[in-house]
Order: sequence, then structure tokens, then C-alpha cells
Amino acid sequence: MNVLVISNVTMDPLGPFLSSHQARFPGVGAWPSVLAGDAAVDADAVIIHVDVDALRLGVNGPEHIDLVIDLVGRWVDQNPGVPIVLNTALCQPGSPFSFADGVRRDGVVADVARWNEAMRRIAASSPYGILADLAYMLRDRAMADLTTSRYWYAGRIRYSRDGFESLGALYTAVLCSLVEPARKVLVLDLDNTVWGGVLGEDGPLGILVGEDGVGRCFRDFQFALQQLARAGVLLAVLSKNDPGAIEEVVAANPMQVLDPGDFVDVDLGWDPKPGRLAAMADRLGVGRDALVFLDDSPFERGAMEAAMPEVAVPAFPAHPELLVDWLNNTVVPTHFARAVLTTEDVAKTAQYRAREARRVAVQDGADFLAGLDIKLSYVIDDVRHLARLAQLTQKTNQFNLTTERFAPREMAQLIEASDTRVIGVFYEDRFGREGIVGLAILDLRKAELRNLLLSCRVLGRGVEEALLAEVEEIARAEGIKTLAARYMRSARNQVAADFLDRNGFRGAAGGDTWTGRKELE
Amino acid sequence: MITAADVVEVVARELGTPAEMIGVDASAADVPAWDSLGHVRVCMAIETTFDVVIDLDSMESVKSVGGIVDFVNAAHG
Repeated sequence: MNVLVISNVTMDPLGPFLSSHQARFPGVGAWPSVLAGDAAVDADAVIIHVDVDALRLGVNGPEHIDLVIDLVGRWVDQNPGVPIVLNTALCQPGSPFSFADGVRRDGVVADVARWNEAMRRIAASSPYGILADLAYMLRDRAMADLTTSRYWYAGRIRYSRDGFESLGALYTAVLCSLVEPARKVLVLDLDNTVWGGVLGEDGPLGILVGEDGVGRCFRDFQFALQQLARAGVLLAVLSKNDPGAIEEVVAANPMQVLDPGDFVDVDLGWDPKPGRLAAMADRLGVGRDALVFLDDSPFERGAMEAAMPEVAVPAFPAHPELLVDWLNNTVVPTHFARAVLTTEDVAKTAQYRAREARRVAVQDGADFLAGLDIKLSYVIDDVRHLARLAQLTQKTNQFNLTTERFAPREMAQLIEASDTRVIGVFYEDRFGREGIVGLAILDLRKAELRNLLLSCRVLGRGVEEALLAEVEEIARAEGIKTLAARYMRSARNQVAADFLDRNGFRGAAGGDTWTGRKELE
Repeated sequence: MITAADVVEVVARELGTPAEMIGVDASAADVPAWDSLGHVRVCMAIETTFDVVIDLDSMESVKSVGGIVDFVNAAHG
């Protein structure tokens, strides 16, 4: 990525530590004018790294902080399409930190709290705002090793080589999370994974999940898993146990935290796990590369790795007291480092459960589609949905005519361009609200449907046809008589191959890439 | 004991300047990339490579290849 680093301290030595990302540094002298200016930003992401101590100790004192908060807020407002990374304050060893200062209204504690809350608010207000909580992320490093007063006085360089290396690793992880698709489902074994012991041998009251000791380790692990689900990660169970195992534990053991409602899918049985996990992926409509499998048994992990190499199978900690730390600081950053949570992400578990209800409805032979009471609505060139629209282009593989991916900044350009329409489709039915599930990009200048894609969660319910009809309606209103549309084969978009042909686009159908044309009446 | 060639190698790498453009008697003024920011980077690299600490006062005296050689060898005793 092409990254702009705006800072009130010299950050140039960070460059070599940002992995493959290319960074530019406007320099300490230029930073207020860069923030105050209205020049278009030519970068894939911007890091605004502010050293709060340097603000506090300047001639303007603590009031300067409010001025900078205003500048940052205004800058972020004016650049909604750019992924922006803000930071919480790192307390420096040089902070005038004393017991008296700690309680003063303009003391360091109050200033840091004010700064951190302002950055959180500003990051939350932007479609692609990210808050890097530096103090938390660097909590296991001694501040004296990360900073240096020698370089500070030599060239306003706050950090030591160690400091830049640590910050570089941290910012690299943040930047990578913007472009690398996160996995979606955390699949859990039960015995000695979610709780201690074996349910079939120890019984629902004999398993270890409780207030103290090893039981507390597993109880805390379950709380951590529940929080992860609230952040949009789907939880599922794949265990060698009899059906009804979780209900049995919930009914008998008041210390059990997770209940069946926390899981989007529960598969209990005695067949080998790899085949069952493949079936679960199909039921959930996700690829195998969206799965992370947690199991304490090296045998089960080995079998899964051998049979399904796309599934992530992290090594399991040797001791239960390590579970929470391992989940939060290894599993999550590696596999679920989602920089931006969209509304759709947070509602994920409810959506997938609604989806399962729909699937059962189909099996029941109900007049499925008619009974779903589907309601669709459309948003056109609406920057408020930028994050979700860009995310859909990154994550949708199957029903995707061209598999063209767009970074948030590119999506913002499409939305803003006068000769392009980005049309998102909202989906709701009687089982629940799915949010924006698909989009189409219409190039008015070329009279071409540049892409149309739909989340596989709602595929086959007529949504794709309805979205195309909406696109054609917009094209007609813009005076387009003949609409072109492209299809580019990928490894996974076979399901979309005959969509254009079925919907009246004529042309050289077949082959890996082709363009069809349709006369609009 | 470190030599001028050892220092040239570090300075060249840190400043992105070919080593042959930096003479063993070069000082910061002779190398365009060896500006004030470049100098802090050179100091950082010297500290890491040769395991020394350059205090603020000494940063001025190590603005040449020879100055760095003398400083590091003195520090190493």
C-alpha cells in the first residue's frame, strides 16, 4: 500500500519497518498545514501519528491538544474514502507525571483521556477509521526501551530503533488487515477445548467450567469467545459428542457461559471431523478458507490439516491458563484482524441463524420464496455505505461477474465519479435483516455493467435478477439503449457464468472472458 | 578495532548511497543524503551495529567516517 504518515514528531525511520508498504513522510514542519489543507490525498491509507506529550509540552500547553483534535476531526471528515489510522496516547517517560498532576483537570491523565476519547470518536465517525491503541498494543514493552531522549533532542525523533521496529510491526498488521480478507467462522471442539474434561465421562457437573482454578480458565475462555461473536466472528461447534450435549450442560451447570444461541451451527456426532466440517461449510455457505478450527487434540488437528489444508488449524495451548491470552493475542490478530466492523458484521450470528431457519423452511417443502416476504431496497452512490460496499468486492468470490476488487479509496472514487453509479442492494425478509448483500457498478460513459456481485447468503432468491433490473432501469433513465456487461472466469465464480446469458445479454458467451450486450427497451 | 571500511558500509546502507561514493575520509558535508535526519539514522545504525551508545554531545563529533571510527574504537576501549 501507498501510505502517508502525518506526524508532529519525526517518523521517517519508520519507513523500513513497514514491510512492503511504501510510506511518505511530509515532515514535522509540514504537519499542521497538511492537516489544515484541503489537498486531495494521494494514498491508499493515512496514518496520523500524534505524540501527545510533544503537544502538551509545547508553548501552547494542553490547549494545543484541543486544537489538534479539531484539525484531525476536520481532516477525517473531509476524507471519508481514505482508510485512516489514528492512535491513542503513549505515555512517555518524560511526561510530567506526579501524584498531583494525576488529579489536575489539565494534568496528563485528563489530557490523555481526552485525547483517546476524541480519537475513538473520530475513528468511529469515518467509514474506514481505525484506532491503533498503542498503549495497549505495546503494553508488554518497556517504554524506556521504545523511546530515546538523545534522538529526540537531535532530531525530534521520539522512538529508538526498537520503538520504530515495534511500531512498524503494529502498523503493518493494521494495514494488512485492510486488504487481507479475514476468516469468518471459529469452529470449536467441546471437550478440553470449550470446557475442561470430557462430558461423556465426567458428566455436565463434572466438567471443568467454574469460578476458580482450571474451571475459571475455561469460563473466561468462553466469555472471550462470546465477545468475539459480538465483534462479528461466527462461532460453531464440531465435536465428538452425542446430540444435545450443549443443552445438557446448560441445563445442569450454571457456570456454563455459551449456550446453543451463541453458535451458528452445532454438529455433534461420531464420524470423522473433516467430512463433517466440509458439510458445515456448505450449510453456512462459506468457503473452507473462511474457517478456523480449534481443537485440543493433536490427532484431530492433524487429520483436519491433512484433509482440508485451506482450514486454519492453530496449535492449541498446552495449559488452560493460557487460553484467553492465546485467543486474543494470537488467534484473533492472525485470523480475524478485522480493521473495520460493519453493521452487517456485528449482526452476523443472528443473520446466519436466520439463514439456517430459511434452510429448514426449504427442507420442510414450504412455498419458500413466496413465504420469505423478501423486501429489497437500493442505495445509489451513497458514501455512508462505503466500508460495506468495498468489503463486498473484497469478500465475494462466487456470484461475482468479474471478481474485480476495490480498496475503500477506489470505491470512494467510484461513488464520487459522475459517470459511474454504484448501486447497493439491501435485503430483508421475515427471518431477519441481512443489510447490504450485493452491488452493481454501472459505467455510464461506456454504457457497461462493470460488475455485479451478490453475497452467496442470499443467492437463488431472485435478488440477483432484481438488482440487474434496477441497474437496467437506471441505465434507461440515463439514456442508454444498449447495455454491455462483462464476465471474467475465476477459480470460484462458476455459479455466475450463465447469469448474463439467462438474462438476455447476447454475445460471445463461453470461454473465460466475454462481453454480452442487451438492448434495453 | 573497527576500520573506516566497516563504517562506510553502514553509512552507505543507511543512507542508500553507493559505498564507492563515500570516501574513508568523507564527512557529512560530502554526502548529500547525510543531512540532519540522515545523521540520526546513521547514529542509530552505528549504535546497533557496533553496540555503542552515542550521547547527544558526541553526535556532533561523529559527523564523519573518521569521527565514527575514533568514537567507536574509544568506546570499545
